[in-house]
Amino acid sequence: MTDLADQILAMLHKIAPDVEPATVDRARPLADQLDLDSMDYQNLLAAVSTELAVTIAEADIPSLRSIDDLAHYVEAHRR
Amino acid sequence: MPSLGADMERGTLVEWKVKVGDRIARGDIVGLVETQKATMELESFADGEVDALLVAPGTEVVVGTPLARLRPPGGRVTLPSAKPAEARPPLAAAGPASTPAPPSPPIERIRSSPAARQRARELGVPLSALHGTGPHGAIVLRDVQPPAAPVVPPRRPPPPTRGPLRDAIAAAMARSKREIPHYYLAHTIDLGPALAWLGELNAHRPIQERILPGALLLRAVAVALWEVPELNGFWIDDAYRLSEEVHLGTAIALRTGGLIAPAILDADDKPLEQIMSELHDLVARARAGRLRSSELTSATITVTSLGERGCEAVWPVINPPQVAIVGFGAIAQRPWVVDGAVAARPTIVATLAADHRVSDGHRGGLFLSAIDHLLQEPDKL
Repeated sequence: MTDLADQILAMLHKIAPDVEPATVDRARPLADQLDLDSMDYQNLLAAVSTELAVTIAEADIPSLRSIDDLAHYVEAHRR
Repeated sequence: MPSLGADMERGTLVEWKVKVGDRIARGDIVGLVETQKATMELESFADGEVDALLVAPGTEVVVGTPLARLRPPGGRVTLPSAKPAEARPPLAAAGPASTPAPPSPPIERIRSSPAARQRARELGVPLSALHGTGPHGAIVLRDVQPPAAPVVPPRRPPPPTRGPLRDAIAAAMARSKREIPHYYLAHTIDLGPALAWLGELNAHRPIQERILPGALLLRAVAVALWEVPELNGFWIDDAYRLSEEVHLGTAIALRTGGLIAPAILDADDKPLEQIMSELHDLVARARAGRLRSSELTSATITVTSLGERGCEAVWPVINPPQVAIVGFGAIAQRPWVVDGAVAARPTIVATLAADHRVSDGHRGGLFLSAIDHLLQEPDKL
């Protein structure tokens, strides 16, 4: 799980280079701690979906708010 | 050096992407230019062969300075005029006058005689600053006089700077508030039908191809301008000019602070999917400092969206020489009357700041209503 979270943080760093992965609280919603807009967030979801081979359903998106949320989702839905 | 913003006086040629002898087409990227606001890609305004590069990389020059000379294939210049195949000697690229900046195209060919050009070069007078009295308004030798006053007016000592981008925003916004009599309107719009429709649409798409509400709002603004076209244009030299094309400036916040508003060109002609993909592309390139010169100079109206974490409404400041700017607050659940009963609905506050020299509140109100009506039938957008 930590592995997955690390990978997702690395993707986030690519999308928002000013975000230092070590400073991100993985359990806290990203929107509460980082200056990400809807486009950044979509890019992050797209990267997670492509690189980790997981289909993210539209209806599930609102519940994916933190790095931990994303890691758990990938774990449960990996193809 | 084209003017890449209303208050741009100078630019630095960072790098050439072409060399002498290269064949280039209109719109090709020929180099990189750095201004106060950003580094951006410089596009050619004509087809031809690079005859000479007149400015070395790293050089800062004033707006209007010829950067390169183009020669059409075969060594003869064909001017894009009513008379086909009219042969002319090679023309130097010349930019428009430094103030105020015409929004598009960034560079225009100026008809002029070789002797007039020679004399203008010697005197250091940009052709764009001259009035032509020759055939078809061409600048001839008698039109070229030494400048009565310096081309760039003398200025007070510059105030302490807070960074080039902040300075550029400060100059443009101060000018806007000083010169433009703004009026402001607001209208709350029920986004229930639009978001439900988008949800349906996105459910069948891979995540990379999801359409965000922001793209739908841009599309609605572009189409609503058909009904109130006078909001789409420019105020230049005490005169209004309507734009036939809808180039939608989209305000993009930069991570390093400040914002920039490149345009989605011909937004009213583009389907929603294309607006979304261009928006993605613009945001990525804005943040990477790779916007094209035409994108930064051509906006005919601007849209600013606060995004999902913003507050409920924005009262935006017009970006001169445009005459209107549309704002969207964050989408929020609000009590809304549906069929006589109060229900919770996702709503958004659309605002308009417009130039009272050009339009009135009545027309502005019709424009916001048109956006509302379009968003109630999103499948038609």
